[in-house]
Amino acid sequence: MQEPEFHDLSDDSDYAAASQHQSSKTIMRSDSVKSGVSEPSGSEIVFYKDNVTIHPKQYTSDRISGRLRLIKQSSDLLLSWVPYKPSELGTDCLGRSDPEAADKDRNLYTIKASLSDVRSIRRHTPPLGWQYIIVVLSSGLAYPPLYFYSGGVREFITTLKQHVFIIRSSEDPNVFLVNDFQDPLQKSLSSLELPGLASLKSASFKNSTVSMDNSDYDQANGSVQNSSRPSNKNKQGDLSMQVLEKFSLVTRFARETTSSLFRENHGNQYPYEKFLEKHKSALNNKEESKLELDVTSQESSSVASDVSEFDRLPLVWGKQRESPLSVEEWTSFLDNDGRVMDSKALRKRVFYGGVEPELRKEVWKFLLGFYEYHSTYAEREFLSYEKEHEYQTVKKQWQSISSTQAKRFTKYRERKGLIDKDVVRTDRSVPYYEGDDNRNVVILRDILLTYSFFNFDLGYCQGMSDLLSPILYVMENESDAFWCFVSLMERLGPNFNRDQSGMHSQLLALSKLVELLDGPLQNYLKQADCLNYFFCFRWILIQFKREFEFDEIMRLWEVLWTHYLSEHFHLYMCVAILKRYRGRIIGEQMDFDTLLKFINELSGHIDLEQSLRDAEALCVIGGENGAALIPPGTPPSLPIETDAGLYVLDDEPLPGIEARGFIFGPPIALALDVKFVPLRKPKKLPGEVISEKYMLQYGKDRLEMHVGALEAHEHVMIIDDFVATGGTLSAAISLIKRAGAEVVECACLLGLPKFKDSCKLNGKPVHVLVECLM
Amino acid sequence: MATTGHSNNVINAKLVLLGDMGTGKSSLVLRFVKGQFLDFQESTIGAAFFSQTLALNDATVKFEIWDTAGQERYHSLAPMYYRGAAAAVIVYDITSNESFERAKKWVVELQKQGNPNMVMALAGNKADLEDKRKVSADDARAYAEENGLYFIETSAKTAINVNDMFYEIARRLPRAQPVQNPTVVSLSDGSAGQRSQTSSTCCT
Ligand SMILES: Nc1nc2c(ncn2[C@@H]2O[C@H](COP(=O)(O)OP(=O)(O)OP(=O)(O)O)[C@@H](O)[C@H]2O)c(=O)[nH]1
Ligand SMILES: [Mg+2]
Repeated sequence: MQEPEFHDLSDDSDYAAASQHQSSKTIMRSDSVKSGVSEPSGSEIVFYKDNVTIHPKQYTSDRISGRLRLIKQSSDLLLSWVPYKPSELGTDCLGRSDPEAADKDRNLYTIKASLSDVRSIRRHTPPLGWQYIIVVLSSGLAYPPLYFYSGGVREFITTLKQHVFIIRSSEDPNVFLVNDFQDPLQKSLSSLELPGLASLKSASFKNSTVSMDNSDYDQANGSVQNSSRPSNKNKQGDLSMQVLEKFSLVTRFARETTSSLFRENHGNQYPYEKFLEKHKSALNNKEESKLELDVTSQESSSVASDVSEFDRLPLVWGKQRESPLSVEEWTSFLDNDGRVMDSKALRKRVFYGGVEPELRKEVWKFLLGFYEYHSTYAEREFLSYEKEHEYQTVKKQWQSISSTQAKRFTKYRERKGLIDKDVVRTDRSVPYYEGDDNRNVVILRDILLTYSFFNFDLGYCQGMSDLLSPILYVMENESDAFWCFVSLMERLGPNFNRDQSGMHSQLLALSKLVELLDGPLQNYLKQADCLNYFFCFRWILIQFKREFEFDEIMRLWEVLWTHYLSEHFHLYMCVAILKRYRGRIIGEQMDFDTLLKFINELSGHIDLEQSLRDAEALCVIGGENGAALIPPGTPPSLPIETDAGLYVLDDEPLPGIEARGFIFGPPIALALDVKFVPLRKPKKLPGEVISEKYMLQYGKDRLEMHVGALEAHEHVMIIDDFVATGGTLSAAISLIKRAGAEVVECACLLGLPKFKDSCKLNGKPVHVLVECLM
Repeated sequence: MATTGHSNNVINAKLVLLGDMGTGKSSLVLRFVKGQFLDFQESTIGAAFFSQTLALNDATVKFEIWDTAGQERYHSLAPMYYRGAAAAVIVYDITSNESFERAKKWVVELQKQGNPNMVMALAGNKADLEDKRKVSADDARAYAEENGLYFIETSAKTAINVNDMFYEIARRLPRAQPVQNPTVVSLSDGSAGQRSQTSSTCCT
């Protein structure tokens, strides 16, 4: 019966991960486990119960049964729960035949904890259904509910009482506090049961050094408010209970994630994605989430429904971050010729851990898309060589501009001026860019100027120097940095659209995500008139560049660039950070100004790893529903149009309709410095024309335009003086469509009332300055 | 939003800084609010918000300052910031003609779109760089007078005229209640105010 207990520790970190600075030891630590010792002599089993079962998954009838024991070992009391071996039951406990996987599962779920690491135990003894307990560790995490199929919860508690100091919580008679502490403040804090606070408590016991920072506290506020519903606002007990339950779920989540990962490696029976989906569907169903946990009223309901309730609670944590991709690991991703064999696995690996700094130079080129994953060493070398040449060619375009030429080249001078002004104030405190006459500042300038010729339409925009600076630092090579930047801008270029459309679409998507993932916060922002989410502008425009230290930003970017869970992981980062500070945002009733100031001042104070984890969890919870809220083409997704211009150009032509459209069109075109395209009555234009017939109240007419006056994919606005029925305008729209260009909108000076207030004609908005009554 | 407080005459005034990139908008605010200057002041992305309170004889003015990004590219965001502003500081760099031209464009835009009672100041910044001057103070002053702006040359670097500018703007803000003590004799920061606040051209 006393078979050796091997614990699989790949799970351990997830499982017991409280906070990074948490130093309390739990028994599931490698030291006690790797040796695989059976129970040492001198230990005594003071309690055991068979058929104690956990329900590892929602919606399935999976059960893992095992034996629960309390073991006295010198002065320590251990809680142990070991799933039965397949042989003990005759079948695999998960009903699967793969004995190896079953073993893994067994190890995964095995529980062994010292009571000195237990904070509290909550018992549930519903009159109907099974009794269960939830054991909460002082780290703030909890084990999955343990169902006593053959009863015995009371006996268990009684035995416990004989060996350790436990008291009933004054707030909830079903909660037993183990190692209760005296300080009433800590006590009330502990009812929040959150990691930062948990470690505070364990610190007071174990003299370990622990810091509790504000952000943890904020998170505490955040989660509590998040889980509280109006109906039980005042019930202190309920509140902390919900948090308890939630952590139980988090643990379960962490376990399931890893266990699914295992399965992925062991026969692909339960792919990770499938697992995630399950969670998404449950957590996203808004209807269902209204039924958030109310344990008291559910005591009488069956266990099965109880279990699924847990899964509807919002999760707070994602998977534990891994260590960065190391050099050896990296080489194991490559075949002999240097091809990345499994790019998805690589992206996943980087997503969860980032890469070692010395690898960035190479790995970033793949992540950014400068190198193709399936390219060989030789191909890449050749590419770099060729691209270096190409870079020099583009660079010469501006290098060869003489000073006399520059005098008459305003656009060039302007651009150079902008760039010159910005590079000297970009990351100058980073040693790489420090000091007078720094060579790297010059290279930064050269690359940006070259880029503004390479992509003349987009040019230079403030923020670009921020995006380039870490890339150049990593690449330490002008041409490579340039091409990596080019790749990055393919995705982020729309952030710099003059009309801010790229930014607006992201801010809109962000607002939708917050609505999905944190309704109360969204409601608050709505009521505070902050729904444009403009306070997140800087975060999104330059990918958090100003919010983190230089080395942190490199870590964040490589994670974002994997596009592993989502191309829009940066938006989930936004949600994660906002959620972290929601307690203060709502509590201090911040208005737009204050909020913007607050957010700007968070710079340098955001915990990166924690935010990444939060964001990962949110992304998983959001799942498909989250993804569906982000319209296709939202940056940094590649634009949907295949060969159309990436950007709404500044100089799209302006068509105007004869005759009075010619009064208004040309001055506007002049002011905008764009070409005016006349749409004329029949037989007026000298060259080859395309024409469009249309009906008028007083007969037929035709509009004509020169062939080639507009190019395919140009986006134009039509100008006319007056719109009555819209017949002529409609014809103009069709004509332009046939020429392959696209009408974005129409503008008229006068219009009948029906055209006032954003009316649409053939689906195109018509703007009318003056409404006239006839 | 020149909302006027009732007791003790507290005036909450939204002030927006506009002007070409690199002219020193952020540096001016930083000097005014924190008394600091950075040689490598980062460019502003989006906008930044600060507040600073000034005590005058007749009122306490609480400035809510919006510092905007200067590049033309982000022009479309500007209305969001100047909407409802009680005061605007349009900043140019005395070493750059282009920045002065850009300042004029801002003036036109504000005259068209902004609050008609807005107190507008034209600040020729980087006055410490006399040897690189391109815009003469006389030209700028003439332009300002024509357009009813308060003109001053400043240096965020040396702090010259920075506080004075904000005090002067504070003085020119319209008071909702009749001012008990109409002539401002001395300023709480000690700098002498030769002008009487009633002589302003644009606030009444
Ligand atoms: N010599 C001198 N330099 C200044 C002065 N004011 C600002 N600068 C410098 O000019 C550069 C730009 O200053 P910022 O305050 O960032 O300019 P800004 O108008 O806020 O620029 P954007 O945020 O890009 O619109 C920085 O390097 C400052 O150090 C000044 O009065 N004298
Ligand atoms: Mg600035």
